[in-house]
Amino acid sequence: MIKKAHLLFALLTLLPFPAFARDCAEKDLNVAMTSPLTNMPVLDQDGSGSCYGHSAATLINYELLANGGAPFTGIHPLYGAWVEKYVNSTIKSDGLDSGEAVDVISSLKKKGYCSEIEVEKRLKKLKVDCAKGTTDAQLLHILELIYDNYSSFSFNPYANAVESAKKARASKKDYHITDCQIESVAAELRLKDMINIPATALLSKLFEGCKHEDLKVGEPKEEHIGSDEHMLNNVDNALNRDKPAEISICSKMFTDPNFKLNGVLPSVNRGSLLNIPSGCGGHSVVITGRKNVGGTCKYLLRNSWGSLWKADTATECACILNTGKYLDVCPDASIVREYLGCWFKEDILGKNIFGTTSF
Amino acid sequence: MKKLITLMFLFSTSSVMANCKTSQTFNVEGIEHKLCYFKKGEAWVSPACMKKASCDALKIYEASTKKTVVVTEVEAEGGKNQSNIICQKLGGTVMMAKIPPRNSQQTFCQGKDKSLINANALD
Repeated sequence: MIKKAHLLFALLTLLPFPAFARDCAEKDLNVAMTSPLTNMPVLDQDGSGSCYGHSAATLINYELLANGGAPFTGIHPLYGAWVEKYVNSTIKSDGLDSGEAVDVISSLKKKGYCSEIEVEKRLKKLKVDCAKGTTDAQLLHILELIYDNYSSFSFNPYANAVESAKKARASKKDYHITDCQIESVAAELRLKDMINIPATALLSKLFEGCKHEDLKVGEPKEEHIGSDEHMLNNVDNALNRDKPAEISICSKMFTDPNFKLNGVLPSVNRGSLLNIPSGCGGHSVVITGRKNVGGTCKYLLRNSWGSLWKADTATECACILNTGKYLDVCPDASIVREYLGCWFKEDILGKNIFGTTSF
Repeated sequence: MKKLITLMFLFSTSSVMANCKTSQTFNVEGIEHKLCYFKKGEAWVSPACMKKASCDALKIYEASTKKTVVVTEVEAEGGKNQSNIICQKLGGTVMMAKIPPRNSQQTFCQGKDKSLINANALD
């Protein structure tokens, strides 16, 4: 009996997509004027590898706004990524460039948060001289370079931190920041007596006086194991409850429609090295809609690459026109104020998802 | 001579603006820029770029279409916006714009001559 059940499970996982009857009832969280998404800007993570922080912020801010919160009082995505790396975890050695949305949510639930407006005000104070015009993403990356190279045992911690940060920038080939920006930020930090301290202390000093609110959202549910179908079902479950879903994907699918995970047994973590092919370009995005087009289910994918982003492989993208009108399929880029995402067929999406998170 | 130079300037400016059939204003790092729709790249560019390859931003765009700039897996880690990396690799500077009324973000690639193109156009 057990053997038969195993065999049936194995056969089911080998079946191609159309064999599954999908619930593809139309759901677009961008449509209703009362939707939290109408007050949530499309973000551009720029040169920071904080996609997971952006997705986490989208899920959290959606929840906060749905529960009556005011716009721009939610989570700053980069603050979320920083807290996850430097405050909640003491043993992680990876940089801001990798992480998971669920960890950001858990960290903020434990540590509380400083609102987006307050975070921006404080980051602005470090943008002086060469660092004027520095984006928040660049600034966080500069802080990361400086504090990753902090050592209290150094004879001259300031000079050591700056020189090490510059060397790290050169070796990482960080094109999106300059040595002059690093020097300006470091000089400002020294003026504020914040250079010779560990990263965790920087956070509490930089955000001193900022009211750290308790994050009152539910427990996020994440999954990394299961078939393509199972991953899409997780997305459906969230959408059916009028909530967006975070998905971890290979961003290569934006340029190559044939790209897919290796597809080893569903019992293996889809995000493991066994499953992730070379060139995947791991990324975290949010699904905000679903519709049935000629019997095929399509999902609306919201990215964090700016409000004029469109995927090469997507033929349909949703937008807000210059007139303020929302269209789920936009005909002409010249009349678009901002794109809200692009539609992807279920098979293309399903074979590239290696994790889901939702409330 | 002065009159001739003025006339030449006026003529060149008007021909540029004549090519700018559709425009939109973007607030790029606090400064308002009226940009023109560049149909070939489905992008927004500085008015000076409407004359073929006459600005650095458009030169960066043309170079990006040749796909000679490679963004490695390490460089793109964490889902970085790869268009911005391409911009910088081709000598441009990334500038952040905010789109009203929701303050959505959009990066632009600025050439050495200060001309702009929205970064997403580069791939």
